[in-house]
Amino acid sequence: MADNEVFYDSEEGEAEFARLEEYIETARADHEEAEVGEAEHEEEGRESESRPQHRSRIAATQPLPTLPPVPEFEPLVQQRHNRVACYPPEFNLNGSALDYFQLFFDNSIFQLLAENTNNYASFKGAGNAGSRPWKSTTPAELKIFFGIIIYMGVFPSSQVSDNWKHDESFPYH
Amino acid sequence: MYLSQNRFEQLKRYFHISPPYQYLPRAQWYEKFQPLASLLATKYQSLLVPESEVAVDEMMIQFTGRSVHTTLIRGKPIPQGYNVLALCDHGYTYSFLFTSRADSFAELNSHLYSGPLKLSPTSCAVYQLACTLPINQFFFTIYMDNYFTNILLLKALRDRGIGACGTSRPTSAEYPKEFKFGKKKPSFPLNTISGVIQRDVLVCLWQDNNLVRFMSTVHTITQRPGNYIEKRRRRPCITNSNRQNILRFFGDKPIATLSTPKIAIDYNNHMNAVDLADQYRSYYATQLRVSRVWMPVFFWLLDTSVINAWTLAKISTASSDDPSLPQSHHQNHRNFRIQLAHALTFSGYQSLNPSRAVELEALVSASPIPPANGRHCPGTVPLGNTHLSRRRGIFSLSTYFYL
Repeated sequence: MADNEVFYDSEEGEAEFARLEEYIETARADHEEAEVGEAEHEEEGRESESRPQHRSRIAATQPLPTLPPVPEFEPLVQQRHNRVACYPPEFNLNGSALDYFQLFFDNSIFQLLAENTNNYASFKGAGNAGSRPWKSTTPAELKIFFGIIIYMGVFPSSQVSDNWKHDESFPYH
Repeated sequence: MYLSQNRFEQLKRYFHISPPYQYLPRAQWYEKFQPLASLLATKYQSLLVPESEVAVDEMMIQFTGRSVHTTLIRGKPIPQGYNVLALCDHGYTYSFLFTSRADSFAELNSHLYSGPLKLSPTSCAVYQLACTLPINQFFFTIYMDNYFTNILLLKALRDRGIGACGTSRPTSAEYPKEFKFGKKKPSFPLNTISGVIQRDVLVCLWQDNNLVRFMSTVHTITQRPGNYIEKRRRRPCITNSNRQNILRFFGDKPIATLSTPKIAIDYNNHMNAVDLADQYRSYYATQLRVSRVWMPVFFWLLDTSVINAWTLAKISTASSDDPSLPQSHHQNHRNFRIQLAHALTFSGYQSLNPSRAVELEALVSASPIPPANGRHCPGTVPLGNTHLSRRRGIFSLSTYFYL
């Protein structure tokens, strides 16, 4: 019984395949017909454009490669889930923008950046004779620095100095 | 402004992430920003469990200065800059890996994969990114484009319990011979689909308007409900070579319903996660003109952190039911950034000069947020190179007394 069924299936598959072949044949014939008609039309006009036509006709006459049938495939089993945010336990969900930002740039990072900046400045000889006086920076000052950088991203200006202009022709920040 | 311009420039000049090495030779090119990058990366990964569908793609950090580590690909939106491989979930950058033209991947751990397959360095990098996901508790499918997809990588990921899907190139490793057609691409009847299984990976070929090559370990393409979805499609542009095919399906109708394989729909839906992050970043990018080669990377990290923070804020406001919440700033990217800038300057000023901070807070809270200056809605900004457009601000001195 099972054998019969398999046989039936494959027969149907063959029939379908034959139909597909026939379909491709007719499609190709139609295509060529159209091509020829157009080529003739072209020849009446300009001769220079007949070359690409010729090339496409060659492409059309090449037999299509036979493709393997669709296989049965065992996909990975999947259990979907949506994204979940995992906040630290004491985090206030209704917090401000700063609270969320400080999940990433927390005070210890600002502290680290301030230390490194001071180290680098002393390494580079900031505030030596002949250059502008340098005062050690603090995490608080760096926060303002970051705030200005982000603010300048929202209100771009062609020159950084424009942000400090008190001129009438520039928006006051 | 709280800081004087001179002080701002000075801070920019001496700003540094890593401790300065006076005497030590530079071991790694990325070590100037690596401490901060790895700190942030662990935070990105600890704060969110991404959706099941994530995407891996390349990101570019624009930098046109001199460096052996930047890549130049003409014709891309950002042609020159540092290349970062990133794994994203709808705009949230989950993990990333810096790439260098000279040194290949930074922090590539090629021993992470211990299987028998011979993975290329790029595949190893994708594998490493995939392993940062919480794969022991959750199932993930990684979508990637044809730069990354190959059979060996998909097989390695499958062995690890991670699904993957992507378009592929016929030149990729171990691509089945049945689907290699040489230089002349054949044009099959529209919607022809075929597949081959190689190393437990489904390789399939689909004739859409163009020939599309997919690989997947989570899809099947047999004729069953669920594998194909009826989808309304617009008739593609008719050319000489596809005329017969297309007219047969569409007739003279501009729109027809085609049964489209699920694999193609999924790919189109989920591949944009990285581009979304790129897009968010490009709106209000903080890149300044700097004279040190690692600074663009720092700005990239800053931008990514802001966007991730905003994404988290969006998630939490969407999930909470309390209507009394001040939700506005968490829905709007621009407002979020402005409020963040204010809060940062305010909290900084509070410890430097508290009395002035209170004064300024009153000022800020009294003035409304200035309107968008036209980057989102064209038409509000004067066009052309006029003094008005150069001024670019629509808001006047008295109305928006700001910062």
